[in-house]
Amino acid sequence: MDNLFKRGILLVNKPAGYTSHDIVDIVRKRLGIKKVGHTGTLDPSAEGLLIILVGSYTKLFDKFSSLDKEYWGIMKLGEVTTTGDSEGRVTKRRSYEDIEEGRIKEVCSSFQGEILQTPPMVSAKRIGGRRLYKLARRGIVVERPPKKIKIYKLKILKIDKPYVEFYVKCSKGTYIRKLVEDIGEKLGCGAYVVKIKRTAIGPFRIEDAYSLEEVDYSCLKDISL
Amino acid sequence: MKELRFPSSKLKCVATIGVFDGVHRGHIYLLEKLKKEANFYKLPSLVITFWPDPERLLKRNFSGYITDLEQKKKIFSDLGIDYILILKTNKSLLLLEGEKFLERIFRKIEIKSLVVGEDFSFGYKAKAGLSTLLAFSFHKKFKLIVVKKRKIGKETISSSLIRDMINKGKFRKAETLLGRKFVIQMRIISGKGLGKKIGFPTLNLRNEGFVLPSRGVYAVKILNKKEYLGVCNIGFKPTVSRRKILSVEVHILNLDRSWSKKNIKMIFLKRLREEKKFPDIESLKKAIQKDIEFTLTRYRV
Repeated sequence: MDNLFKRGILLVNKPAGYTSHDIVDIVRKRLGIKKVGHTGTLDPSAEGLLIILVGSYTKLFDKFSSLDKEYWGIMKLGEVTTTGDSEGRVTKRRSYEDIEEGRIKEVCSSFQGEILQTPPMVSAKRIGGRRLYKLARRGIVVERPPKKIKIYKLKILKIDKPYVEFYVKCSKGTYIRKLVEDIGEKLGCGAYVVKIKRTAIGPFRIEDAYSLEEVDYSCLKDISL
Repeated sequence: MKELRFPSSKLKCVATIGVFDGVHRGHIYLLEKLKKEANFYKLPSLVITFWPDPERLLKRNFSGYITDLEQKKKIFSDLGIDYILILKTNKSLLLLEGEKFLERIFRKIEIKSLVVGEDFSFGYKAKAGLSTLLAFSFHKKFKLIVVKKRKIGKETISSSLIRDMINKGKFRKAETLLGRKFVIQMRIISGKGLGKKIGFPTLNLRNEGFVLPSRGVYAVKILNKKEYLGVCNIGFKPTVSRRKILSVEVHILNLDRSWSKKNIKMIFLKRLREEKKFPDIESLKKAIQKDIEFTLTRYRV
């Protein structure tokens, strides 16, 4: 009976170092309810906004997962890693010193609009019923059909070579690691994500999210009578 | 009930926002929830509404409203709502994106909780909906209560369904959904006196925006100090006119003196027949006589 009232929506600020599922587990324990889900996976190395659905609200998954996402991040030019972020091993090093700032901005803005993106091997995407990252761990690379995504805005905030700070607003299903990798490739020097933070999911903003320490029953938002 | 000026001075309250056309039984249920919230928090209740009806400006085929602003205000006031804020529906309001729209409205209003219907949409092209509102409620830290649509039997109560029922002449059904009578108020304009010539003097009416039943002849009840029965024609008057201009006119039965007011309030009772073109004035007169007799025997005041 108790669990009937434990339902709602929760905005959490996921720290780097946790998987999205870790957060779900923590919320489960804190609230003492099994039915907890999240929308829009964040990589372990990423931080930022995660929408958690509790109880009967897990049914609303589709409504939230289809929302656009916004990120703030830093990429590093001149290196390519196995994962596209700093978790992986550096596989290539190339010079970036000669690339002009104007060129970086130009290349970044060329990614705006509707584009095709091939999901990275290190991702939770399933192909043929198997998680890509599980295959990747065994060194297997499979063909991935590219997916149509939309980059609404890609803005360079600061350039301090080799680091480039950026903001991006994109459709669901966009991999920022892959986007940065593709930018690096187009620039000719390679690039990977050093730091990434999700600042918004649709109209939901990171400023309104609770930190992991704060999360408890009172943070749950129930809207329906 | 007090009317707030916008932008108003700071107010702490519980609020609802919507068009509330008809203030039907679904709306009443929502407004009761609002009052409960107000009682719980010991705060005044506020209804935020729009005028003119946004659909009237946005939809080309908008059929008209069920209640005008005066009627709505009266109903809110009778329900015990403390404040009303009427937002003027204009271009600058309609062009605001969802979040900006909310920011603007709630700039000076501090809400403890907001009650809305599940289908409430707002902002530019009404693109923003519950998710934007939910995000805003996280941001401003208020309680959001979403009220599901109400049903009577299998039918979901909605303003558009009621408008449709009125249009089809199903007045009983419309009244059930509304929870009260549909009262239309119209202005009296001068006519050509054709009715008088054929023995049935009529008042020519101008509709300012209410939803109307479709073309035909209706039994009506006129609300004045005294109630009268009447026969109302809505249509092109094909027997006497070739022009296809919609006119509304009413012949009041047993009127003991000439009508002196500038307005008329009436209730539709029944659709009597379709409007049709008669071969001559005599057959038209016979048909009208039949309409009158039916109305008198069926609905004695």
